[in-house]
Amino acid sequence: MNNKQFYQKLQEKLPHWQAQGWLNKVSAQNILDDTLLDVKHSGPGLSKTDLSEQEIKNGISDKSHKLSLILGVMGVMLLSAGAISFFAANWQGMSKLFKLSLLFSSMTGAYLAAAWALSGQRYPALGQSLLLLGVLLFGNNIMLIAQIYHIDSHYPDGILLWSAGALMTSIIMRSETVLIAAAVLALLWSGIEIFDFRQIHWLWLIFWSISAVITIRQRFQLATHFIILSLFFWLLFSFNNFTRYASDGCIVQLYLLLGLVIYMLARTIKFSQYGRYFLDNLSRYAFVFCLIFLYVLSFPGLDLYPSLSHTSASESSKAQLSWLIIHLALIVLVIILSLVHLKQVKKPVALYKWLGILWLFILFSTLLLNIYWYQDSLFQNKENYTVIIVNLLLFLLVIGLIYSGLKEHKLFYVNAAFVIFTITLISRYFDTFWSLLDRSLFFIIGGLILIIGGFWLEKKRRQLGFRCLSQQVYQAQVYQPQEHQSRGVTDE
Amino acid sequence: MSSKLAHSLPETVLPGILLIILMQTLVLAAMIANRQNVLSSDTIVVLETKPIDPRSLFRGDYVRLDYDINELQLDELSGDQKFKKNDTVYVVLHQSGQYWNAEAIYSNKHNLFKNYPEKMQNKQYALIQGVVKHVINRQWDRNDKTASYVTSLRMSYGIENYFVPEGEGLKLERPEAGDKVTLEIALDDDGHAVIKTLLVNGIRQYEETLF
Repeated sequence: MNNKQFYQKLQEKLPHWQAQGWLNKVSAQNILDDTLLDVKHSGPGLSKTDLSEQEIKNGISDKSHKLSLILGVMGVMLLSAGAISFFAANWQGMSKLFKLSLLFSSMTGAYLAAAWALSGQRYPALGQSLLLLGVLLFGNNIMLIAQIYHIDSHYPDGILLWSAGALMTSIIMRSETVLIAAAVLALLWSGIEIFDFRQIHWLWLIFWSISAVITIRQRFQLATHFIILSLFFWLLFSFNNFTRYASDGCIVQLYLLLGLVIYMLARTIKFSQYGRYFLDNLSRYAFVFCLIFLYVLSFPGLDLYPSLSHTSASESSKAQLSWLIIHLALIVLVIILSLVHLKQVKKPVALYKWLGILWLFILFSTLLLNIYWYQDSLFQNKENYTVIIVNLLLFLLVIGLIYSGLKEHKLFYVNAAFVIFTITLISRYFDTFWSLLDRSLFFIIGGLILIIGGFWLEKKRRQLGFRCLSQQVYQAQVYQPQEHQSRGVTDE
Repeated sequence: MSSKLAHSLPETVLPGILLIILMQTLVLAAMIANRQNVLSSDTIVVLETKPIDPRSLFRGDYVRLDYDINELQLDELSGDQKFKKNDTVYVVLHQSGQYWNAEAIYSNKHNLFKNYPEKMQNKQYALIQGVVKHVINRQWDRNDKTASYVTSLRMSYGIENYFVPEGEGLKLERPEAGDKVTLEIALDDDGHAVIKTLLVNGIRQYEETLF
């Protein structure tokens, strides 16, 4: 039960408790006021003074607003689809001028209706839906004008124009719904540029940066997840274009290092309390991104040739050198960020943190060895040596994550460790025993391992999770003045 | 979420909304004005399209048009000779009979006017702007089954799509053998092109009007 739900429950229960004579009116009011403060604190980066009483009450009736908004958005989607098919179907039935005036008036009408619903917070959820309708009609208008005038230019530009219009609307109206729509449209725009026109689409990063700044400034929670996820999706979309001159293995290593850079950057940057929520989530997603690529690297047979397009020895060694430089640059960046981070943490630095640095050092050496030594190792049939090291590193990471998760009271790391451990275990079982055991035996043993393993993992995870939570509660009781910090940890 | 949005809303909503309406309307109006301007031009050229392939020419209610000038062989044209992908180029069209064909190609408009000063005043010459989509350095002759080293350009002029009314595209979708589809193209002084009329066997099927 979160603070808001707790507050609502108290509002229901207190009159009954008063009626029973268990507490008087003043005590009931004090309890309510105290809980109200907790509600104020629990928002991302909100201080006591940020929210008024009325706003808290608004927040408490969020559920009905959310439902209205979801229904409104669904209605807007249908209306927008209806509008575009109506104009397309009645193609010859209307004159060009009539069609254009209908297009413009529908868009203007949607915006004016949004203004009416939003002013004085008359119907905020409906207002947001109508604002979104206006943005969707703006996009419809771009497409239909292109159709009316047979415009055949670089077609992703139409979506760029659309997403720019949406971004502008979200800035002016401070609308989270429209910002999410703008982020989705921008990803669509970049996706078309990447997949249809085969280029690494750097321009999108400008759009992303603006969206991120707005999200932080406006303290948007849902948009935070959309904006961060769009960054990692964009990186994944670009995979094919990065690999045009390199093997998959090199890009996997590059992505692993990029994820680490983003993770360390998010952990290191000191930001205002509003930005902290964004950076905390960014570090979590980056961590998952790293884990995925470390997991991919744990498979044998990944092609790690530095270059696919060059065949001559000199060109190949040139490509090898350039990849080595790229890796080294990213590694140096991670090391610098790690050192800055170490400076920021409380002294003395705990032993497990130093072991983490050692772990990173072994990982970096392995990655460099992969780039530098892979071709030689192929000839010596030793290409799987580094894969064994990566698997060992994964195993050590699981232990490290559980330990540090418990130490720092961060359930997220404990959960992540269990997920990656389970997935790796299943993968190695299929890798190794698929060809060694009889098929039926393979499935029977596999099934048993999964059932018993699943039971054991769930049990352990619960125990550790409970330990984590009880430590937090204990700390919160012992260190009452540091209440806010420990509450931040609870969110993890 | 919505209540959080509501609390962060500006005090007065209407000025913001009016600003959004104004800016988005301006963008859309600019798109329209640009096309209307070209449509009102006096320079009209008639271009021939390649024979229609019913399997690939029409996609639903929009037609993909492939003009003769979409493929240019540099050894048959005067002007510049070196081009790369995504270059913006200027093609000089010359009227021979009913149709207009490419005569020269330049990557720089200044060079073009220097070399064609009097011709560009002539009504039998027109300028069309396009973008190089691909540079092909070899050509395969199907008849001789031989390859020759000729540089040819795959061009786009922004007039390759034509949206036809829903349900009325069928007669164009499956043309009778020997049907000829031609288009009248309006060009402005910079060579921007807009489709004005679509003709089948010389008969006007669709005509774009000002509003």
